[in-house]
Amino acid sequence: MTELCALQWGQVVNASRADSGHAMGFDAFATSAPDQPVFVLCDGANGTPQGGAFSEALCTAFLPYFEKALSPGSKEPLRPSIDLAQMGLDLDALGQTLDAQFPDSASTLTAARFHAGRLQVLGVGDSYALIFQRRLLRGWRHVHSLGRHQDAMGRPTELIGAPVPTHPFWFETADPGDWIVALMTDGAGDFLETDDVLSQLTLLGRAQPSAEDLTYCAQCLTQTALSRQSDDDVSISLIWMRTR
Amino acid sequence: MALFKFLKPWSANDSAGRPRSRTGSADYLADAIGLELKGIVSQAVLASLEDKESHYLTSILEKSVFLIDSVVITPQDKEAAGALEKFLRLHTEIDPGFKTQFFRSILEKEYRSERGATVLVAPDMQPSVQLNEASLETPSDEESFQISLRGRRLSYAAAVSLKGPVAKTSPAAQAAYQAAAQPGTALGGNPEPFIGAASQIKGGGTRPSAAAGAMISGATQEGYAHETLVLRIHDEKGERQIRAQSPLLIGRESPAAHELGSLQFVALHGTYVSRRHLVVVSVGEDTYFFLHDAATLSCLTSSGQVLRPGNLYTIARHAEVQLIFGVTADAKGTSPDTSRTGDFPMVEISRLGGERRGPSQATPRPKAV
Repeated sequence: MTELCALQWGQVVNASRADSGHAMGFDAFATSAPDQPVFVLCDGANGTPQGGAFSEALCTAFLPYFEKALSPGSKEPLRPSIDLAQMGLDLDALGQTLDAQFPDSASTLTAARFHAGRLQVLGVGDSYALIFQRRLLRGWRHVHSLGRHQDAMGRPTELIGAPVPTHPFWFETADPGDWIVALMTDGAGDFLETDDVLSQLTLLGRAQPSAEDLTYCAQCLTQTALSRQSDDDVSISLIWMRTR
Repeated sequence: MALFKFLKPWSANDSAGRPRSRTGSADYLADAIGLELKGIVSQAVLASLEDKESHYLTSILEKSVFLIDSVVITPQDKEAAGALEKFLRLHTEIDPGFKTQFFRSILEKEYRSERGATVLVAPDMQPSVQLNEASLETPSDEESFQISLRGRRLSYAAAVSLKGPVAKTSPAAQAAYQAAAQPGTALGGNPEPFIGAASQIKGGGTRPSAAAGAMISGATQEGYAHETLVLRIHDEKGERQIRAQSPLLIGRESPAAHELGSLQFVALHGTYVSRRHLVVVSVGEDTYFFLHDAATLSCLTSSGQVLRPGNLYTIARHAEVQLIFGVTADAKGTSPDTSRTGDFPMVEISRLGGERRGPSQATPRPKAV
């Protein structure tokens, strides 16, 4: 079974343009690493009364849930190893619980973990989760971008806490190697291309980065998003894993 | 005349009108204090850098810079505190901005470490002198004796705070490089979204200068890309949205076809519009705009910045640039009446597919269908 050999992460949360006047702090990040390699980034809907508080509470509540084994899914290698339908129901229930506390509010949810020999990434809403792998000769390359719940007008179609059934997007891999998961809120992802992230990862090369290195890369990406006139909160978390 | 020359060394003021005797002694103080401070500040910068750079990969250090955020000088005894205080007071009486200038002068423009890290001085760097308990004490005879036995005693201590690293291409680093290149200018202020001076753009032709493109990416005029731009125009004829291909020229009157070449012309109707006002050009994946050589008027951006002749400005992929035409290039802090679009037309330029969502579009909560 694939093992996690090294783990490092860095993030920027709730950055905003000094002149935008829209610094709202609607994003929240939480991790239980190094005990459990679990990372959660949420973006509260700023059109709801308590989107910021909702995202904060969702981060805190989802962390222990995602640390657990969860209901088993398929044993086929290319199928999710967890029961996504059950997870959708669990997230609906979690949303309802939080809705009682923060009525009419909602939030996106992106999360990553290393569990049972697999790197697993989850997404609900219109936030971004990009997965990169370093290949021996080809360097860092983009492997997958998680789907996003978004309509043609750019509005989210599913959020945790909304009265809409949740169908989480999911990615997992048991391939050994160096991996980076980039969790980004739409304030960042809407203004960045995959190549922007790759250009930062090139700096890392094959070396094991420090938390400061990853934070620097996240800051550079944040700066790029803000310079492209993002007027939303910008949050980026870069999670680096070496598995074998 | 001879008598004047003879008396001159003893006159109260020098040729610049500064009090001779006071600055003379102060210059001596400046040399003595400046040399010592320069040494301890350098050591403090490098110590702080050494502490920080160890956390970063060399590849990141090579692409980034640290910025000196603050320098705190602490005199180590009463004599040193008195000397520094006297020195700063004397000069500040003559020049209120002296303190900042002096501390900047004792800082190198750039510090480098063996690992390749670079330190620049942040334009808004704040120097300060702090007194602690030691600064108010006079060494006893016994201490003085011990110091003289051990050799020179440092009169000052320095603590340097670094921020960063920030990418060399970031606005903060660019501002620091600019400040380093112009040591005489006052510190502070925000950097402009300035890509590079395009002073080579000369001549009255309507084509954008190849030199401008070459300055951006080494491209030649043939290297200009065609990108579809979305222009929302508010002028004398009302509001309209058009799509146009770069390179394009925005102005009051279209030049002759042979003069226009491959440029697309977009007519702007308003009192204060130059005949050939603004050029928008794409090079590779980037799109830039600049004032035409023949433009006698400038534009004001939504952030209140007046475009300067000879400078290049960029349009980010997902950004929208809002320009009010008709301000003068030397206008400072004056904003025309934006409701008078017949006089001061407004143009919003964005790259196709890159139109941004308005800030008022708050994310709604999805509803059950």
